[in-house]
Order: sequence, then structure tokens, then C-alpha cells
Amino acid sequence: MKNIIRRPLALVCVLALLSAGCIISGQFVILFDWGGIASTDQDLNSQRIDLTSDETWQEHKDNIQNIVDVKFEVEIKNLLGTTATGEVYMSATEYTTVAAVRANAIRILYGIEVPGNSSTTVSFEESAQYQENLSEALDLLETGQFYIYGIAENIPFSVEILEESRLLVTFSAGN
Amino acid sequence: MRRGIVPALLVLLVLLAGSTASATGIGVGGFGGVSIPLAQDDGEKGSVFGGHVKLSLGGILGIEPNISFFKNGDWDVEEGITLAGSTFSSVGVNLMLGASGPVTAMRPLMFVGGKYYSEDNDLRETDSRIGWNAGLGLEFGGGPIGVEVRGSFELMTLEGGGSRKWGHITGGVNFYFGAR
Repeated sequence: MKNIIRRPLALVCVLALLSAGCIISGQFVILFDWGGIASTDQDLNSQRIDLTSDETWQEHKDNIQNIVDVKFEVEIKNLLGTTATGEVYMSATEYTTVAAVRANAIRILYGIEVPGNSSTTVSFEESAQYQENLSEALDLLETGQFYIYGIAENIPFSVEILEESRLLVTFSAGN
Repeated sequence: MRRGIVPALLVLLVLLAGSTASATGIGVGGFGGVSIPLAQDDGEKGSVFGGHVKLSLGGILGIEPNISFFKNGDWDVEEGITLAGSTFSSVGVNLMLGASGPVTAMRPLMFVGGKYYSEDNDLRETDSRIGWNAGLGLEFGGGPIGVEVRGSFELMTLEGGGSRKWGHITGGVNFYFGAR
């Protein structure tokens, strides 16, 4: 009779021990203002993002297990008179030309239509429909530091990512 | 595809239980209650419901194939911005301690088991992973009907490390085939 009780209890203990690392982990969220960037097809600019400066990241920096999700809240202003198709890229190293970004960086948002001389806002919820290459983006986010670019598919372009734009990053952390 | 297979398996288990019923301990039950995300900033309290088949192995041991569906409630990114929580489903088998046959008066129960969890969220890529659950409960009743309350700890492992965890508090009704 004692074995009948002990065996399931032992199983619970073994599972608990095997999952010990998992049990004390959790999902945490960072809301990060990414600042403004203005670029043309001739004059590319980037924004350096440093998530490691965030308080929540700092709190868990030694125990981050993986990046679970990223969402974007983006306001793109089109400074030309014709409709632009906005794109957002990210990269580990900084690139200084549109061609280099297109060749080497990760395109994370694509297809954001911005009418001439006006702006379009994409909410966190809406960003999912424009998102691409999420797995690669999550891998890059694990470093906590990267460059972000706002350009347009059509040439010539002149677009500005407005300062209200933000990242929403969810990560798992635990011992 | 998986969504179709899981209910079909549950129906099969119920039919199997019915076809081999006896008063020695085969029952089916349904439950519902509250799902509480633990250490998850991207989800609030939500609901859980599901079903199980209770198969007695004799004495106070039993096994319990089960299926559940639960949801993390919507969560506030900040004031005015709310995002939908993920929806989850699980199939698994619990080892039961505390008898799985018809209940007389009241009995405690303890369980532990492996599960296969799936996450669904329209706003991002999601995953299906193994995990486990364990918990305690009480069952009341007589004859073919038992009413139970349970508390369980649920853990779904995540690709790349870490896990999602919940506390589930449920109430349910069981029907035991062949019991009087």
C-alpha cells in the first residue's frame, strides 16, 4: 500500500526536479520607444536599438532564455507626392546604403501603404499582418542590440519613421 | 488537422469506455473553471474547459486520458492598448491516486501526468510542446454521478528554453458506467 502512494509521489518529485529550471521562469514584456528615422533612397539613416538599457531586460539579463515575440507600432510619413510601400529592416551591424540593407538586413515589416504627403500608423495588433522573417528577427533580438531602418520599396522615396514608433518584446527568463 | 484529430480521439475514448463499462470503474466527465497564468506578463486570467475518461486500475489507482481547452485573457500593454491572449489546448494522460471508479460520499484525489500542449495566437507564430500537470482534488457523490473540484499546476515547455505555467481551478461532473 505504501508503494502505491510513494510511486506517484516520487513521479511528481522527479517531474518537478526535471522541470525545476522551467518552473521558476516566466514571460516578461518590454515596451521600447525606438525614436525617429528619416531616409531617402540616396541618404539612408538607421536607429540603434539597445534593449539592454531597459529596466526589465536589466533585471533578467543573466537568465534570458529566448525571445518569444516582437510586435511593432509604427507611424510612417511619406514626404513625396506618390504612394510609398513602407518597409522596416533590422540588422546586427550598421549599413549605410539602401542596397546594402536590402542585401544583408532582415526585412521585418513589408507592405505598409503610405499615400503621398501623408502618414500611416500601424498598431501592435495590425503589425502581425505586415510581419516577415519573425524567427530571424527573434534570433537577432536575443542580442538586445541592433539597427533598425525605415525605407520604401519604390524608388525614389523619402520617408520618415516618426518618434511615436515602438517595439513590444516578450521574452522568457528564468534560472 | 490536429484540431480534428483531438476531438475524434476523445469521442473514441468515450465510446470505448461505454462499450466496456462495468461498475468496477469506467467513467467520463466534463469540467470547467478558471485558468490563471503564472509569471506571464502577456496574458491575464482566462477560462478552461475540457473532458476526461476515468479508468480504474484497481484499488486507488487509475488512469485518466484527458483533453482541455483554455485561454489567456486579454492583457493591457498600457492604458488604451489591449492585446488578445493566446488560446491553448492539451491532450494527455494522468496517473490518478484516489480511485477512479464510482464515488461513495467523498474522496480525495491526486494526479500527475504528461500532456501535449498547443498554442494558438493570430498575432504571432506559435508552438506545440510537451509538458506536464499535477494537482489535487475532491470528489463527492453517489451511484453513477460524481461531482469534483480540482486544483492543478500546468506547465508547457517552450522551444529554446523556459516554459509557460498556469494554475487551473475547475469543477466538473463525472458519470460512471454501470454504477447504481
